[in-house]
Amino acid sequence: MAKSKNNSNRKYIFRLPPCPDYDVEGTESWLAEMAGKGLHLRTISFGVAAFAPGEPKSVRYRLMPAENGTSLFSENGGEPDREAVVLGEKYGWRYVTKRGNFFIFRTESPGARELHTDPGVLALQIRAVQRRQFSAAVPILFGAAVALWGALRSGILLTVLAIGTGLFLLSVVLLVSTLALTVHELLFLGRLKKRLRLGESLSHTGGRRHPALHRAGTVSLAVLFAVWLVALSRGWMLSAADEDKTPLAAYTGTVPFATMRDFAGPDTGPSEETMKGIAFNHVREWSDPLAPVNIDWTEHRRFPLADGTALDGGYTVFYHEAANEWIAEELAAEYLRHDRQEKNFEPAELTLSAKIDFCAAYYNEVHFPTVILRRGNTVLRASFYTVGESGRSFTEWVERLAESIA
Amino acid sequence: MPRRSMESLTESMFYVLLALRAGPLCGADIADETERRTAGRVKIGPATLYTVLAKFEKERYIRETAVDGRRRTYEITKKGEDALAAEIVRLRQCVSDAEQEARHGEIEE
Repeated sequence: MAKSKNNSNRKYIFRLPPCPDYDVEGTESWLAEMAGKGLHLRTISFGVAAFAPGEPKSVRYRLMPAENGTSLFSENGGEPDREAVVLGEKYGWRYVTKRGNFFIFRTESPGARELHTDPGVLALQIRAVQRRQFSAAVPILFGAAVALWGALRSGILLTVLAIGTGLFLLSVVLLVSTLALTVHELLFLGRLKKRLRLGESLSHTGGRRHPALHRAGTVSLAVLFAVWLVALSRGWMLSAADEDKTPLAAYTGTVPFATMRDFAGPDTGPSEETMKGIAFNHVREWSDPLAPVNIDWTEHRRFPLADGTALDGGYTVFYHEAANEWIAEELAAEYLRHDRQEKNFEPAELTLSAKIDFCAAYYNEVHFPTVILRRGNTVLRASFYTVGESGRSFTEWVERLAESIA
Repeated sequence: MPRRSMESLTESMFYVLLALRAGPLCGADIADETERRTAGRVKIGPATLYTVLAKFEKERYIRETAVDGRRRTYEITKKGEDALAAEIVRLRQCVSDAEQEARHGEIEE
């Protein structure tokens, strides 16, 4: 924030308010102090106050609760009712701008009667603001509850891996902060309303208990929100354009598990894709603090075999090398829990000779043979279906897959 | 309009209804009439006046009768008159109770 002793050459000077927008006394006293230093409020946007430099003056600023809200979608486009402005002007008050759920008026006339002369009536306005804030919090709470239910149903760790630990934690921090700030505002306004109902008038010189903390919190939240928005947008754009996936035809790396080529065996000829498009033949690799190696492998191919037949089918693998064994165990459990909830889930019995710490075999909702394997920190979930006569039995391909990670 | 249903009117609310009982007035004239009637004791601030008028209109204690440029004129409704009458009865009772105490010498007037 720029600080200058000679303000007269600058058009606007910007400052972060030292208190929340609902701290009525804090905001009024701060604005009056700034006017005493020659800085006169012009507007407040995105939480930053813009002051026009001028002569130091004794100015009273007063906040009027916006019972219908201050957003563009509110009644009157978020501006005060014309009659409120007209009545204010008749008694020497000019409307300046809005902040949070309040309109800000000012007067330079020491004899102008107060904007609010009845604490009981002001308490009614505060109550209306409280009610609206509570109503605004309900959809946030509902959304959070739905998201939590979805995450629990899908598996918390799987959800975190899909979104990314960083973005997930950031989302949680922002959500909790938003709810905490809303609760704080409701409690603060409740205490203010109580004082007014007891007939107490506002002091206009108090408030602003922790200015440095408030400013630091405001900046931190703004930065976190910006980072969250950028990360979310980037992830969504990459995913929507499939830029996070590599077509198998262009992939030159190797994966640490058996693929269809391994199931087909060494005497197979060149394969061909049986379903076109990156959605059916791709690899996606990413890293996360929970699991440093993650691979999403999908292929639909036909491998001609030496006996004249062909191995033709589709194969999907979700592979994770977790940060530790506990995470790998939980991932395996979440995969199984999730698939068990689907219709047509049917367990299958398999006996493997490969050394594996966990194996769960079943037919999934579309009756594809599916297996979850875990060895140490490594866990994978694989589905494989074949068409035609030269398939591989459930045990055959699972055994091959298990050997590849053992 | 009571602060809550069945509660009393505040002083500002009372004088707004009282001013309108005499005839239709615009907002600023209501404040001036109140100041005159109370010899300057009750001065209604613009935000208070606006809020009271908006709530009374919502509760149908008053209705808007004319808009002339920047001036909106209101008149009291039957519901508003009933609320005012009930408040006068309540205040009279309060004064009567206080006068009884004073006659018994427990409160100095």
